[in-house]
Amino acid sequence: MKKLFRNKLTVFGAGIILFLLIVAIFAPQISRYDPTYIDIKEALLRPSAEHLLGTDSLGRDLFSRMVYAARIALLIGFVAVGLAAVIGVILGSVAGYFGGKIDSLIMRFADIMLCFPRFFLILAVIAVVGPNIFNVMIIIGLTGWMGMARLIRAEILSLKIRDYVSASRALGASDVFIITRHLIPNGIGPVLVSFVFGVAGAILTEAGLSFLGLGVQPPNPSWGNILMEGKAVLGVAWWVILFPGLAILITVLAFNLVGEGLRDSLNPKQG
Amino acid sequence: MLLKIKNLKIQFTHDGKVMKAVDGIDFEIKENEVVGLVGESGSGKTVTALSIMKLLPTKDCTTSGEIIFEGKDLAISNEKEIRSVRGSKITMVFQEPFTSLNPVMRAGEQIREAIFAHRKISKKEAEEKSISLLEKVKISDPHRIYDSYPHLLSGGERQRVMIAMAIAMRPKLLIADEPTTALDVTIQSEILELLLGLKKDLNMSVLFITHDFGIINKVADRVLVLNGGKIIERGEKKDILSAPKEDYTKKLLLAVPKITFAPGKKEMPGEKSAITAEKLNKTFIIENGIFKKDENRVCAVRDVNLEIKKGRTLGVVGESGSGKTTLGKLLIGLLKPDSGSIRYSRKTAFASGIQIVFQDPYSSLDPRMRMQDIVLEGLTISGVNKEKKESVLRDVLFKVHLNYKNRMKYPHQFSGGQRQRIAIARALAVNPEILILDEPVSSLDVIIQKEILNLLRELQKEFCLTYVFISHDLRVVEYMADNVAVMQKGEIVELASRDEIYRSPKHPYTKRLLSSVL
Repeated sequence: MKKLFRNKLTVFGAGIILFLLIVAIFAPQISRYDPTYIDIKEALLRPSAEHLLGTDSLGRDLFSRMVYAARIALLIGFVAVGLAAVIGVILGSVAGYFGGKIDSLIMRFADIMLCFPRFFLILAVIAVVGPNIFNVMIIIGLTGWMGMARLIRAEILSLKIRDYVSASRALGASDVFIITRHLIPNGIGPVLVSFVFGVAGAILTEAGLSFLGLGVQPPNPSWGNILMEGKAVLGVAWWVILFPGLAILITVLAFNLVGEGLRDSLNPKQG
Repeated sequence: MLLKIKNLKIQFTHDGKVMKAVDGIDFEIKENEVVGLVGESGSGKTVTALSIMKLLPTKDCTTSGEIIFEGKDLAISNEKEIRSVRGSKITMVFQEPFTSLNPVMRAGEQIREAIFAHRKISKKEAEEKSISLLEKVKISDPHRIYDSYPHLLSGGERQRVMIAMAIAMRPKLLIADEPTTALDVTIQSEILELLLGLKKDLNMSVLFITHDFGIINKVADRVLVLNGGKIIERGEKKDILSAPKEDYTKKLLLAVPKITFAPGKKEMPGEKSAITAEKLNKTFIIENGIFKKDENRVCAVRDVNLEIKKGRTLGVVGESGSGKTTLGKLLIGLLKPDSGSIRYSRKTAFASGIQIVFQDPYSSLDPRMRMQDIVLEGLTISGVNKEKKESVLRDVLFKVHLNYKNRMKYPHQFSGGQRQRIAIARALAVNPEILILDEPVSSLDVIIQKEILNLLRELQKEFCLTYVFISHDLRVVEYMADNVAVMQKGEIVELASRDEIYRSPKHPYTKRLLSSVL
């Protein structure tokens, strides 16, 4: 932990994530307006004291929309990757621990999943099941577990021959006990790193989907669909496209910085 | 005077903390002599050796003092000057023959490299010289070894290759850092003979670093005893060994295991047996090749019969690969035998009847668990309530002499000996009848080793435990065992009482093992 926060960039990234979390949790208190309240008379106002980030083409307060969008971005990021991590850790540890046919079956399935270009797979599935926040989360989760499964499997392959595992078995421990008490706690490090990077990826994916109109549906705000709406008025209202763009950039950067720091702190080869 | 070291100090800085590894030592090595540097792990012996070769990391490490070799101070020489000395006039042989050779280069190429680094000769000449070096280190078929990759060589062969590289330039000083510690006893004595022979042939001096007074006795002319980064005693070998002055040296010498030929306890008729094994067999199949076409069958345990009486110790002796660890794992049920049967006096093998303690106290404890959770793991598995666990914890920690106050600490906060006590406590917590001890003291320093052995004897007496004591060290086995089984290539070649094995060994392999004990 100490090592993790010695890196200044990591602390910077963690600070941004903390800030975003606070914004997301207290979104109703922070925003002055209803993010979906339309007032055509107020359309495309420049940023001012009244509307901190201006208004969009339907006269909605952009600041409020950005704040609520942060909520959705983080929710989708964490839930989707959380789902991926749970699936990945379970399948990966089962594959690594039992080996043999079970291992081949699970890992070949993972290989097949990895063959599909992920974004297009998500697009295709969304097109079938219909775009909404819940579906987006589930699908990003279901298509993102393979890397984590590989990571934990590799860890468990080397951990399962440690003497403390044999000792535990000699004490009568079940397979589930050994996997959950010894193997996963010792092998989870790389998965945590992958989790943090994964959140950044999921936020980007969600923004991309929403930009294409297949993610969060209007009038609900998402950085992606604000961007899409901003594209239409780019010539007259730069603020509608600038702020969500910056928000995505900074958020992804923050998660990547923390992921980077976490990876270095878990790598024993670096001092 | 070949080498003179004056007031050598080495410090490491880690997380702002300064650690003195070597704290002002002076010594000298004359031409043609073997100086033994003895000490426990952490005493600074390897660091001293590395500093002579200037192989210490430059980061976080400061060295001061003089290292005068042939009249020149290496401490203030630049990298180029050092390189002309390192690997030619001073060379080194390391402990681990498995990691000190490059796995992707043939053994011969590596010897050739060592020659090329200091002399410009043709490839052909270098090859001829390498072969003759391999002959010099008494390798029976040098041409095969020359073309082999390291993983195809045995530990002894690798160490010979290392030595061939070290003597390639006819060094004045050879630093041998525990060169035989990782080897089997019979090979160990061969390597020591070889080093002594080469020392005579090449007129070189040797700085021999070891923790083992048995080796010192065999090879050294003079001895330096290192403790906590300081030389606390020095002198001629016979003086140190027969009349040590310092308490620490005395303690170290006393802790060295020796074969004493002390008479064992006589077996009484009517003693109940704790474990009986009949015709145990275990073969491992190793698949090779891309399409798993090649099969390698290794018969790890073959037709093993044994019986251990309650409260007794069976010592299982053998070199690496003899199948002794596999036998232990079969007895406890961690491996299933291909054929044969095992009967216990108590019904179940697992969960209480029989437990195991491993060699390496670093990998046998889960690094992410607290000491109390490790010790109580068996009870957690069987769902024992909190109060019961608490009382067992107090009780078992008392038995193995561990401080109850340390129960919340993690394994890395304990020393090797303490960790081994934790491993023993974990086994004892479920109140077993039989303990499999798989090299329980092999990775510990001698003083700690003695403490753990005494603890085990104490526990056996008090709780009538039955031990299967697996070890490569005949001296330790004599101290512990009532009966001894000698294993070679998966078979028990001789099984008899301790007295018979040590006083009148029958099988030639047993004789050979005994004769190579120092």
